[in-house]
Amino acid sequence: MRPLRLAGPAVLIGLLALTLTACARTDRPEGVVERWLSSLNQGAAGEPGRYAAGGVSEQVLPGWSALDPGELDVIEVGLGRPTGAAGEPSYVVPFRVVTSTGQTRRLDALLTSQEGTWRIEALRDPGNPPDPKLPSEGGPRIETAHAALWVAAAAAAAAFMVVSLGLMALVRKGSG
Amino acid sequence: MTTAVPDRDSRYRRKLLFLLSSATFFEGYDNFVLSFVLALVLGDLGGSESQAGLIRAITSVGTVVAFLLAAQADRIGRKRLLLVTIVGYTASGLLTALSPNLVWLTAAQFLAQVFLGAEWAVAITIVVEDFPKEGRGRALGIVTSMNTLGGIFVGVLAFVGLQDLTPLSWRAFYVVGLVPLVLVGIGRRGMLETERYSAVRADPAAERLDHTSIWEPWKKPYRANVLGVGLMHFFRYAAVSAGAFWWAYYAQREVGMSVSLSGLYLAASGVLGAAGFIVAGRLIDRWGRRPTFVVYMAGAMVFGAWLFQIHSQLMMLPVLCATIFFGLGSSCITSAFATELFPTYVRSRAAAWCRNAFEIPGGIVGPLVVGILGDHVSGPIGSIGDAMSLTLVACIPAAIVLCLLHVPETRGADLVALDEVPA
Repeated sequence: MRPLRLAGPAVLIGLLALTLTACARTDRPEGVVERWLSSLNQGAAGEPGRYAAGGVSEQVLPGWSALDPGELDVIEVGLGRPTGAAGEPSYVVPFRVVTSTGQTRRLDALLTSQEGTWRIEALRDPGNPPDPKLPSEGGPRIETAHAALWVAAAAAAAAFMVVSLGLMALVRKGSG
Repeated sequence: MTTAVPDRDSRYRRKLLFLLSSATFFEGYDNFVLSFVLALVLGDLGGSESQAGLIRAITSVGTVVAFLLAAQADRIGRKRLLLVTIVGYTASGLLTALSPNLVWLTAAQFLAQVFLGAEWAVAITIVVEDFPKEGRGRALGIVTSMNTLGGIFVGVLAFVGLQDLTPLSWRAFYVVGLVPLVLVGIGRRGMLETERYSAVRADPAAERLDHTSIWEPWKKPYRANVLGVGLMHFFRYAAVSAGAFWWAYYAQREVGMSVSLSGLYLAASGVLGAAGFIVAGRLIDRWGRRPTFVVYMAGAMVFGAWLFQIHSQLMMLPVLCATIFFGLGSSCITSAFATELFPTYVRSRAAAWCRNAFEIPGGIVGPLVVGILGDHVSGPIGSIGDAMSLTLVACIPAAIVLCLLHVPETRGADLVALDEVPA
């Protein structure tokens, strides 16, 4: 019953790896910008007001509340960076949208954190050259799986294998 | 039990293959329709995104409940259950088209999933029992590939604007789903009960076997195979279904592809990738089930993990084709394992356990885990692409190891000899 003896440690390693990944940053302003643009793409039904004032949304998609869903054909959000003084968390996040008519808008979203929730306060034109950059401009991705995550995945694979083989050993033993 | 299996007319088999392929084609069609017309449905009947998620969750439960219906094939026969399921899901499609509100639509789609889930299991069982062992894999490849082509057909209809061609809007998609009823009308007269099922039911020695209990596949002689094949189904489908579910989102949100381009990529690679089923069908007859499965799973893991790390739109298409080829094509092989390892009197129930109790839950868990890990705001990984690649690396090795260590080879399995043991 060797697989069963290995199951415990393997499951522990898998859980430890999951716990480590859970410690990662989990309040990404980039995700909030993306959700705002996605909700804007749903028109009034998407309720983009949850993320930004109507006037801010108007700068991206004029007349958005009366438009049909699917007006944005491309939504690209890049890795942002913190701005502002300590104690006043704020962030700038680059994004680009392409409308169904082929119009491109490249802007930066300025966010502030209010009671632990990011909100888009304003938009600005990106600098020349833009900073921060979008992935399509050669900038970094929102997240990149670092080596520890690949090790965690390999540990999870080992845990799944050992648990499966342990179950099989139990069943075969029970079947005589 | 030594009843010989007489050769069946090749013309009959072609006709049977057409009927079964039509059934799995429309199963794939129906599975994709709701997601394509969801926005129109919500606009017409009224509803929010959260209600749409609830509808999807409730209708998915129907696929698990389908297990109870699929298991009836060992009691009432394969032919009868196939016809019941086709008529059932066609009627459910009609009810969906007539929906006056979301509650009605949810109930109709729940019923549709019950019938569709059972239809798949019985179609695979019929192929295994009614085709000669040297051509079984090829037939399985054709029947299972139709499922993917059915899904692509929905995209084609949406692309040509079926929703705008008639005043029916989204309801027109469900009217198209009535076609199987016509096929049943044509095909049912000439369709026979499978030879193996008829032979077993006619054998007095088989009378003492339990043809009704859903727990029969868990008896000593079969339980190791049910668990081994079931776990293999679970791990394979958790990874594959997550990839199928999240690819478009990844392409649009993390690669910056347009909706139309990602749709075009999916349709093109789906057609090319469907060849994976056909090739797998031929390889399992030539190489055997186990080596083909290992090659397909390794291919799915390598190309799948690569696919979700690609940020070049040019590279995306060939790697997507390869991932679909290996990932989806492998379902033809798991279908063979789920049926060929078990004697006729319990085959349909064993297949139902493997698919409905292991594979379908895998299809629920996989996309859910990737969504939680990769959520752009709150996920611990924060990227769908990374979460997807890591999920593939975590799940697929278990499927490969289970296949190598615990699942017997079934190439050329003699179903007649298999039936002699229990009787």
